This record gives sequence, structure tokens and C-alpha cells, in this order.
Amino acid sequence: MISLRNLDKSYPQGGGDVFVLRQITLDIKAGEFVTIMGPSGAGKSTLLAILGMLDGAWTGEYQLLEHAVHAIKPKERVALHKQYVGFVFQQYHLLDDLTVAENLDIPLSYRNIKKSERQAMVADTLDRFGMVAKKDLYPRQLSGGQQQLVAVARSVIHKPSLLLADEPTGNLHSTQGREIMELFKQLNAGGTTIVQVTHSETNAAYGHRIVQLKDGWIVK
Amino acid sequence: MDALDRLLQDFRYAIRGLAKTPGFTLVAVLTLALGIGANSSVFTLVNAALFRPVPAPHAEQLVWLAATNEEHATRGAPSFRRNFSYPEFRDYATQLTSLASVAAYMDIPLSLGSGGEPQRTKGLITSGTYFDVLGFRPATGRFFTADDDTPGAAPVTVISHALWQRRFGSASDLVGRAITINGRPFTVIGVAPEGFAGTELGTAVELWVPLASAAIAMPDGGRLLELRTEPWLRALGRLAPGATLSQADAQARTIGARLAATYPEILEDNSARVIPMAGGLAPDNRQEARPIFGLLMAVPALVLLIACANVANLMLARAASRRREIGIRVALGATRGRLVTQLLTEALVLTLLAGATGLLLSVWLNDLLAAVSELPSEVSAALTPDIRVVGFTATVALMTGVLFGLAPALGSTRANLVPALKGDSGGLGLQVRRSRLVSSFVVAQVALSLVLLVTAGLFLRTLGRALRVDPGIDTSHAVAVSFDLRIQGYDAARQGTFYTQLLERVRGMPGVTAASLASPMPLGSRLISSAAAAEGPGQDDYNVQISYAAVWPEYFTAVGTPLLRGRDFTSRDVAGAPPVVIVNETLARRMWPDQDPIGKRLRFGGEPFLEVVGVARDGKYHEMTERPRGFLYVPERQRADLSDITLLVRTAGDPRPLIPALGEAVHALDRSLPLFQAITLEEALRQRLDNERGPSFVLGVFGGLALLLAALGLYGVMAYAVAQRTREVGVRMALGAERPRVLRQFVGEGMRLAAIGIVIGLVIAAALTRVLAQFLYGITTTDALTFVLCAAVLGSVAALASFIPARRAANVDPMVALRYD
Repeated sequence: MISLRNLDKSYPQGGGDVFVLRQITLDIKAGEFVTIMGPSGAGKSTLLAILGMLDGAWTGEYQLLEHAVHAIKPKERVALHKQYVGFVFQQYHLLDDLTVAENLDIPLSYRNIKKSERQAMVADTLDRFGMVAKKDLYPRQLSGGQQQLVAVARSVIHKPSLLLADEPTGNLHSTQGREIMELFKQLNAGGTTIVQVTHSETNAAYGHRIVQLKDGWIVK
Repeated sequence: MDALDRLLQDFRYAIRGLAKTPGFTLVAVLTLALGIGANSSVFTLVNAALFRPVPAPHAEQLVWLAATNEEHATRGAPSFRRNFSYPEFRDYATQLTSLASVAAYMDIPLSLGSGGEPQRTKGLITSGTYFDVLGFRPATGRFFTADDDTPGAAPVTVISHALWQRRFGSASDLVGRAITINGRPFTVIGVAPEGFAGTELGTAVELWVPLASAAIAMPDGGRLLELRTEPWLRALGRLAPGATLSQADAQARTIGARLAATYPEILEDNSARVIPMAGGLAPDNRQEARPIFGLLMAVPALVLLIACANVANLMLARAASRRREIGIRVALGATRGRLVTQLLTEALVLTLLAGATGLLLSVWLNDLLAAVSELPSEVSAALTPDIRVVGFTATVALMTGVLFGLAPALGSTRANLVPALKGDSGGLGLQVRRSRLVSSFVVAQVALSLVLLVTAGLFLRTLGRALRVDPGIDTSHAVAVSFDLRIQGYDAARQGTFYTQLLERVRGMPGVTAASLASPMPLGSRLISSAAAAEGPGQDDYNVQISYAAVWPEYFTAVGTPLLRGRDFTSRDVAGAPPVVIVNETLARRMWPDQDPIGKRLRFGGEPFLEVVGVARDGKYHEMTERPRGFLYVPERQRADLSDITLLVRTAGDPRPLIPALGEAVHALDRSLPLFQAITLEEALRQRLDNERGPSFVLGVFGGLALLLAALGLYGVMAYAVAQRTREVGVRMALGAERPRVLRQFVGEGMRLAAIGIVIGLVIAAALTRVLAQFLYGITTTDALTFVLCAAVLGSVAALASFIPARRAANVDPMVALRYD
């Protein structure tokens, strides 16, 4: 599904370039659950942003299914992102001013789905994630675990084939973390390809394999 | 997802977001409301003058038939500064078949003697078709018919609804009764509909009389109906069914060309145009007022631009604190276009709120203006907002929203937003770019404010000069009482007797030291001008422009103008005696440079030569800011039969208590004679100064507003910079920076922006103020003092606006600041 070849990411500093990622070559098959690990500053989150096409400033080759991401225009990358990718963040990143239901609706509204269809999809998702009673609550009225649950629901509501998760349980206590990871496992079993960044060996164990990064290089 | 649904969603979220930050919303709405309100307020005035239709049925069919003059055409447009003579109007009325009906009219003063104290009222002398053209129905009674406007018809009048209520207690039996107008009976045939007071703004007509009564309604009125050489009428009409404006216009021009060919010595270069009737200004006034309206509209537009820059900065600051939210939205699939639309929607919600507030503000401002200026209710009614004002305000608000919303929306969505998701401030590059945008807004604000301040400053300096001008008369201890014997039907002989008896009475009153008569009164609203020639070579050229007044003996003592040479007029300077004249210094200098003018002769207006018997000191005759004007005085008794005579009385003490006694002295001679002005000369002078005071006041208010907005803008930016850099200040202080250094750094940053803005503003002001030359007096458009003072004021305000947040920065506790981060 994903094929990276000699991918470099750098930014200019003091007359030279500082590299964040070096010569990344990586293949991820459809239906895989891959964990990226490494010390702080290794480039894990940057790699995830590039995979999700939120970051377009890199060199090398990136093939997503039949699309050569490195060869297409930024507008087309946004379209690919909308079609295939869902994101989960460590800080949940729910929109504070929107209710649970409205947060779920946002990714659908950005995909120009009709209102009636959106309402049905939001209702389904609320039901599937057991959040019907909380649909009118605001994020601040939820616990951390509940917020991350909403965030995961929001990331998959448009049925992405690739789910990218950046430290998804970093802010949760162990029970809540376990629930989220179980959810990921179910989604993966349902066919969603998952790439997660984590420091936790326990979470890593949910995946099929681990990619180790250090100073921008894949070391394992 | 359909567009409407998306728009509604954006609106809902925008309202929720704004409600969550009430402080920001309040400041932004009020700032914009001030700017939008100022624009709406001025536009209400412009709308009333130029666009608002007459409240008549099918007003879209109403047109002006405007008399034109091609000789004074500017840029291809004919001059409308011409009226029709009655015979010329008749020619158009009978030949212009594209118009269903045409009416002629002119405003005239009428003396109303019934229903209370004699009163001078605003009258309109009209052709019998006037009300037919407008299509009104009378409140009671009927309007003029063709018979009423036939020579020899019994005099009739239509009165305004306001006059009917005020003066006649809405008497149901008034129609059919005779009232006294100009000392003669006129039968009231009808009452105009409520609220109608003529088609022209500022002229609240109370009485309408037909042209057939011209002989008794106006001095020389009978003659005016016959002469093709006397243009005095305006005309309006209604398009015939099926006729278009361009057809009517073409026909009017054809008729005009034909008349010009038939009467070349009178109508050469003259014609007529048919133009849509809109607004309360007749075509000539409309043409004249256009530059003033241009200036009036430009000034609040600048204020609004400053307000926009202010709110754009607030939006930028807000967008910076919303980077995380925008980042999340991007991660969830929002396109840049979608985000820009959403941020613009917020801006539009703000401006719609501000537009509504601004509209209320403008209504209040115009009410205040009407109350302060004591405008008649019919005029102030025209200053209420209509659909055009609401539409204008909405358009301005929408444009404002795009103007201040677009740059922040584009700026805050252009950046790489991934770091925002990790809690980063966006990196140095973004901060620099944002701060450059903020800085350029501040610089623009300061520059625009300076332009407005300088404009206001120039007008205030003009006012200052005008206040210090010597009017050439001694306004203390003097009073002026005006009346008009001619509209009361007095002939020249009766007028002379009346004046002589009046002066005898007044001079005998205790406290009176001198009394005289003049027409027109000094520093009045009327000025009579002509061309004059000195006796000798070139005496037929009439190449000296003069203005003049007809006065009685003792005039110079009564008004306190010293006679520098020669003598005053005496009781012997009457008709039949050798004609004499007194000239002012400027005229003496122009006609006979380096010579003694006494005994020299001049003539004007085709009259015989007049001998100069005196030289009076120069003064101001019409405007305080006028340039030295050649002026001459003639004895009223040698040039009798003038309208609007003013009795001028000098007193030993306070002249005000004498005013009622002077009124009684006039009424003792004619109980039905209305007095239309009884004021001290100090008050008369103050009224003249209102011409300068008005624009200075308005521009001063706008200049002050601009200064306030610029100060708020600079303060906001500096306060935000301090808040953003609390950690930096903490680090600096932890590293040993002292408070004064921190203070200097922040004030320095604010002042650097202000200085750039001031320099740019000075350059723009120097280029733009050139168009103000015609409005200024005694100073140049680049008056150094004004420019320096305004720059200094703005600089000081900028320093203060920077100092307050800078002091906050200097008081930062390093430990708290670092922990806070």
C-alpha cells in the first residue's frame, strides 16, 4: 500500500540544512499494523505527517496505492489525504467549541457529503463507539479516555484505509490506553491499515512489526 | 454537501466562536461600527441630496427638465447653472410631447399675515400643473387647475400640512377661506399631503401660489412672466406613457437647438436636458455640491480603512491563538479554500453585527445633527435611512468584512500547520511573516490617521484664521432687524416714507446712538455683485468686479465702519440729486491706484456715472474667509425699491433688550409686516462663521476618531506582542536585562512603526491636501505648522500607546514568566 524510497526531509538553518529524515525506504502492505518507535527527535511524527500528506516539503519517492505522491500537485495530495487517511493525535485535538456529534461531522463536511448522509453516518458511529448519550456534550465535559475515543471515532468516520496515530495513548492511563489499543486492533482486523508512533512497548505489541528510527535514519 | 448547508454551518460556528470571546467581539464590533456608522451617516445625507426619490406615486417617471448652458460646460457636461424664463418654459411645455406634463416653479419668500403674528414663510410659485406632475392627492380641498393659473384669476393658495396644523389648528373650514399673503387676500383651496414640503431638500415650503399671481406674490412678478430675458424658473415633469428618458432628453435638446436658433441673442449656447429626478437637490445645486460630497464621503471612508486595519490586526492575533484549531481542521481534511471561507464567514458575522450597530449609530448621529441644526421636520425626515442607506451600509459592511478578513484568513492558513498540532508556535519564519503583516497594518493605520489629522488640522487652522479676521464692522452694541416692504406691495414712494418715519422713531429711542438702513445687510447671506468701470479710457469695458449695498445716511456709524476719507451720505443724497457713491479701499486702489479717489467717477450696471464722495475702510462682506473685495455703497434713496431691507441700530449698552422695542417700532407703522430676522450683529457674525465651523467640526470629529483608532491599534499590537513575548522578557531579565532596557526596547519598537507611518502619512497628506485649496483660508495646503503639530500629536499618542504595554513588559517577574511558559 505504501512504498517510500530514499525519502529525505530537511530544513535550512544557519546556512546549511538540518536533516530530520534520511534516506527512508519503507514498504507497508495493506492491512498491516506498523509501529514506529524511537527516541525524541528521531523524526517519528514527521514521518507520520509525511505519510498523511500534511507535510509536502521532502524529497524522494512516495507511492500510496497507485498514486505517486511525489509527482502530484499539493491540491491532489489534499484530495488523496481526504480519500485515504485518518489521524489520531496524542492530545486528542478535538475542537473545543463543537459538541461530540459536531466533531464527528467535521471530517464528513470537509468531504462534501450531503447533510442527510452525514447525519446517518454520525448516528452510526456514535452507536458503534457507544457514545450516543454523549453526543451533545463538549470535549471539556469528557474524560481523557472518552475524548480520545471521540478522536478515534472522528478519524475513522469517513472509513479511511490508512489510520495514522501519533502517541494515541500518551495522555491516558493504562486501562483507557488498553481500550483504545483494542479498538485499533478491531479496526485493523476490519481491514484498516494502521501506522502508530509510540514509546510504549505494550502498545507496540499490538502491531505486526516495529520500525525503529534514530536521528532520522531507519535503524531496524 | 450543498453550499447553503455549508454556509449555515460556518455561520453557526462563527457565532459560537465569537460568543466565546466576548471581549474581542465587542472591541471589533464597536471599532467597525464607528467606521461604518460614520459612513452611513454621511451617506444618509448624500442619499437625501442625490438619490432619494420624491415620495410621489410612480416616482420613477419623474424627471427634471434642466436648463443648460454649453458655454460653461465642463468635461463635456453642460452647466445646469441656468433657469428658464417663463416664455421659454412655455415653449418646452407645449412642444415636449415625451413628457405627459411639465411644471415650472421657484421658491420665493411670502409674507403670511393670517393665523397669528405676521410671518415670513417659504413659498413656491408654480405653474398650475405642479401637483398634477407630482401626482399627489390633497389632504383636503383641491390642487391648482388650469383656471387658477390663468391671467386675471382670483388669487388662490395651497398650504402645507404642517402650516395648516401649526397656524390654523387643522381647521376643517380653512379651505374656501381667504388668508392674507403679502398684504392681499388669497383663497385657500387645499392642503398638501402630510410630510410634503416641496421637492428640494432644505426648502420646507409652506405656501404654494400659482404663477398667475406673480404680480402680487413677487416684486416685479408681473413683468417676469413676459420677459424672455429673465431666466428664473426651474422645471420638472413626468414621462408620457411609453416614452423613455432618452427620447425625452433628445426631444428637449432638439427644442433647445430650435429656440437657440430663433432667439440667438438670448439663448445662444443654451438648451435643456431631461434627467431622472432623484434626491433633494435641483440639477444646478447637485452639480455644485458634488465635490463637497466627494470630500464628505472620502473622510469617513478613510476612518473605516483605519478601523479595518485595527480589526485585521485583532483577527491576526486571534488567528495566531487558533493555529492548533486550524491545524486540526487541516488534518481532518479541510482545504485551504474551505478554511479561508470559514474565517471570512467569521469576519462577515462581525461586520454584519457592526453594520447593524453602525446603522443605529448613524440614525442617532443624524437625529443629533438635525436637532443641533434645528432642521425643519420635513428636512430631517429626509435624513432617515431608507432601503438605499440600508443597502449601502450592508455593502460597506460586506466589503469591510472581506477587506479586514481576507489578509488574516489567507495569512493564517498559508503556514505549515503540523507544528501547531505539537504545540509549537509555528517557527521563526511564520512569526516573522505574521509580525510583518501586523506591522504593515499599524504603519498603514498611522499613515491614514495622519492624513485625516492633517485635513482636520488645516480646517481648524482656517477656522482659527477666520475667527481672528477683522470683519470691518464693530459687532458689539449693534442690532439688525430685517423686513421686506416690496413683497408687502409697497411702491418706491411708500417705501421712502416708511423708512424715513421708522428712522425718526428709532433714533428717538433711549439708548440708540445711531440708526440706518441697508440692503443687503453686512455679512448677510445675500451679496449683490456687478461689473463696474472708472470714468476715462476703457470706461465701456466694465472690467472691475464689484459688490455693493444700498444704504441710508449714518450707516457707517451704525455698523462701526470708519470712513477714511470724504463724507457720509446725507439726507440730500436722494433721487434727482447728483448720484454719489462711497467706495472701499480695495476698490479705490483698483480703480485709481496712487490717486485720490474723491471726486472721481465710476459706473456699474449700465447706470449713469456716480461721483465718489467717500472711502470706507475695507471689511468682509459675505464670507469671513473671502479675499479683499472691491465694494461700493450707494444711497438707497438714489437706488430705491430693493428687497430685504435691514434696520441697523447702534446702542450705548447691551443691544438685546432693544430688539422687541425695534419690532414694535416697525409694527407701529405696519402691523402686518413680518420681521424675518432680528439679531445682534455678533450673532450675525457667528452665523457667518458657521460656514467654516461646520466642516472644521465634522473633520475634527473624524480626525479625533482616526487618532483614537490608530492609538487603539498600536496599543493592541504592542500589548499582544508583550503577551506573546512574556517568556522572552523573562529570559532576558533572568540574563540581566534591566527594566529601563526592556521598556526602551518595546517603546522603541512601537515608535519605529509609528515613525514609518508618520513619514508615509506626511507624504500622502502633502499630495492629497492639494484638493482642499478651495476650502482653506490664510494658509497653504502644506502648512508646515499643521503638518508638524499633527505629526507631533500622533507621535505622542503613539508613544503613550506603546509605553503602557511596554511598562507591563518591564514589570514582568522573570520567575513567573518562565514558569508560565
